[in-house]
Amino acid sequence: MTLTSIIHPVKAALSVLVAIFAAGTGALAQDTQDAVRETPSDPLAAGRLVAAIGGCANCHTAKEGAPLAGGDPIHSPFGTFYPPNITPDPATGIGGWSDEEFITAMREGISPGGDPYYPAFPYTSYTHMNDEDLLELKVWLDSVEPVEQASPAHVLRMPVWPHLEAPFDVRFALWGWRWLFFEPARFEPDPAKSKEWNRGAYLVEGPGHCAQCHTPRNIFGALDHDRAYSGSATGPDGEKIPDITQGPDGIGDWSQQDLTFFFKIGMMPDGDFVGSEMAKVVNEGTAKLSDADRAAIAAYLMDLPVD
Amino acid sequence: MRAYRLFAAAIVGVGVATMSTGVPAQDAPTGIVGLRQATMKTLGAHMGALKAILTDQTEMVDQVPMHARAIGDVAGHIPVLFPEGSTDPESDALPAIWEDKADFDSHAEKLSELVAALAETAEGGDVQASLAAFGQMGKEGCGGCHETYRKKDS
Repeated sequence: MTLTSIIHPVKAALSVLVAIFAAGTGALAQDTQDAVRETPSDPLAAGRLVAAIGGCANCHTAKEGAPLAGGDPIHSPFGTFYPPNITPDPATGIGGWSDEEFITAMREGISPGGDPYYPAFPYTSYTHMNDEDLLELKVWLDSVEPVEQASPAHVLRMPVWPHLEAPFDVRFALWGWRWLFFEPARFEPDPAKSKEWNRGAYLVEGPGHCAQCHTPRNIFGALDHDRAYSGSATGPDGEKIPDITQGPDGIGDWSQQDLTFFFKIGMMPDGDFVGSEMAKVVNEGTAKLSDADRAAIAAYLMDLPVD
Repeated sequence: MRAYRLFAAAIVGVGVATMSTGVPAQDAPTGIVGLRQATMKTLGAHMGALKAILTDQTEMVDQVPMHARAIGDVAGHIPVLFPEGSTDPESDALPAIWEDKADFDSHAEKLSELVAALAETAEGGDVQASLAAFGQMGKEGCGGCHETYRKKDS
């Protein structure tokens, strides 16, 4: 028995204890624009757009709470997660973070203190984001009204004993999870594809983090990329998430125009309007993009591989 | 000959097994549930026409008020299409409807108001404003009620 073959199962066992069902876009969004000090400067407007497509408020703003001061709890098979305060309050928010610290948090899932985040925070998608978008996002986040509000600690559960709370802080084991399932990456355009396709790919795979809900997960809570975008029976708060590939259960009967229009106002080809979390993704996110970006997202989604 | 008969018997056997284990197709609901499902489909059809006008055939914007009024007329019928106890295995209507029927009915009233606003906007000929009114009607009028009172994706 080799050393690797011993370590691997050990790491895997540790990881399963803490693997987190990342809950993608969670809680209710409120219009965060009210809290923005309006200035016409470009990075601020651009950063607000990045925040919109990233859906920050969907998780980090509570239904009855101040914008981005911490979201409603997200219930998952791995426990209950409290999206933290990301206003610029220095004590309880992310005020005072350097650009480097912010980028490391977003792209590598490591806090300024050096601790790994639970993958309920979708850094495994944000790792594809570029510097410009992240820095503009930070400009905008820094402009939000600071709110002093401490974030509750997450309550971890082990899927094998769901009635038991994890009796100790298992965050250290996240290193194992990362070792198994995470590789910092950056979006690389595919030169064989169109500019539109590549723009769509960036938005979907990076800031839009669509896979976090639409791609099923393995027992460790990591995305199963072999079945990318084929939907999930257990989305955030137990909701069923649809298949968005061109496969038989997917959206092969939607035209690019149908999809582009869907991302504008939320109407599906049958005349009905989308609800739940996706309504927030559209209303607070894709509706604020340009027509060209919506068409780009549609072009990329229609070209997703079918397994 | 023996092999041929065995083969024939096997085919018949499989056929019988398939018939006996086949789940009978669920009949489409009849009665009030059937009517309201058919009625809801007509709303979807009007929505499709409105989308085609407002995103593609914009010179036909004068046809928007007709579709909007049709939706408004149906909205007026929604409260009576959901009488107490009108459930069906094939229905997506949630029991919550009858726990607070007044609230449910107020959603239909809201839809009536929003389509009236759409018709009025379209009469002015402004396609972009009509599209915005259409989106609001869909989100708050249709989506608002479905969110609370309709079964999620089955």
